[in-house]
Amino acid sequence: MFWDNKYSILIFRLIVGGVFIFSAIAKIIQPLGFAQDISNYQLFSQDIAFFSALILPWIELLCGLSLISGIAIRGSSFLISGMLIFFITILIITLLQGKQIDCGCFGFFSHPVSWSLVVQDGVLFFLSLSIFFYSLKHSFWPKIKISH
Amino acid sequence: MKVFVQISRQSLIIILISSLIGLLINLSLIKKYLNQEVSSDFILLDKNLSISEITIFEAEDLFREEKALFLDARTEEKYKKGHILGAINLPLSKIKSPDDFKKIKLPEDKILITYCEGGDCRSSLYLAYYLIKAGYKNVKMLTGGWPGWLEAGLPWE
Repeated sequence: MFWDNKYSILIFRLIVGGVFIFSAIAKIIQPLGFAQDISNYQLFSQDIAFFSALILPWIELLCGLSLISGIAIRGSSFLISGMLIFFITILIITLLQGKQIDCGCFGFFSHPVSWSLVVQDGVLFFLSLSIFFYSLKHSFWPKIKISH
Repeated sequence: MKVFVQISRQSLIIILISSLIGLLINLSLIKKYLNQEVSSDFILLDKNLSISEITIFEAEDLFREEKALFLDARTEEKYKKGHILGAINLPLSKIKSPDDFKKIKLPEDKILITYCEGGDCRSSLYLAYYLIKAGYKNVKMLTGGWPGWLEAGLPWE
């Protein structure tokens, strides 16, 4: 399959990693703006909105860096896939409720919640899942053997 | 099994490091939050901006005196279906940073009133925020938004 060779996986890593790093930095600069975006969904308490706004962007940043560098890629692609499932679920709930809010996806570069965002996150989910399954079979760094 | 342990370990380490960095960097903000100095309107405190609101009735007066320019922060589709008479459409999807306003010249002698879908919509707040950052001084946010304007039976097109 085209998504199962090292070149396509490298491209996937750059895309997903890049998106997560960009999105993370936009949120890290504006922690309270992001907290506001989370609380707009009206699905979480204010405390959860506040503290996850401080932590979540850093998880995104580290995962993004990990995907690109290839360090701890199994963990990061697993986490990113999990986060994307979470985001997609929240987006769908919000859309079904008919709420008109901004997604908060990229800090102040954010745009209103829409079905195209669900598709966009779905594509990212597919890419990160491909990276995850590829990483289970292959290693991104050569194993160092210490011999005497 | 070994792989499962490795995935859990890597994920946990990433979460732990991120939490530590996130909490440490924002220590002063957390202190403020715990002392309840952070209002529920996070964004206002964040930028130290005071974005003032304007009621439908106040806005109506300014509208009749032709002192205000209404800015519609909703999507183009919704704008086309109906908007406040004379309003300009500035959807958030098009305005992504204060720099974007350099291309769009807005009259500085008028009070700029942003509005969106009403209720909890935030796009008028974001738009007002961008306008202030872009250097406009007379910026207000319409409470009640588009539905409020319609309910009051005010002119639209």
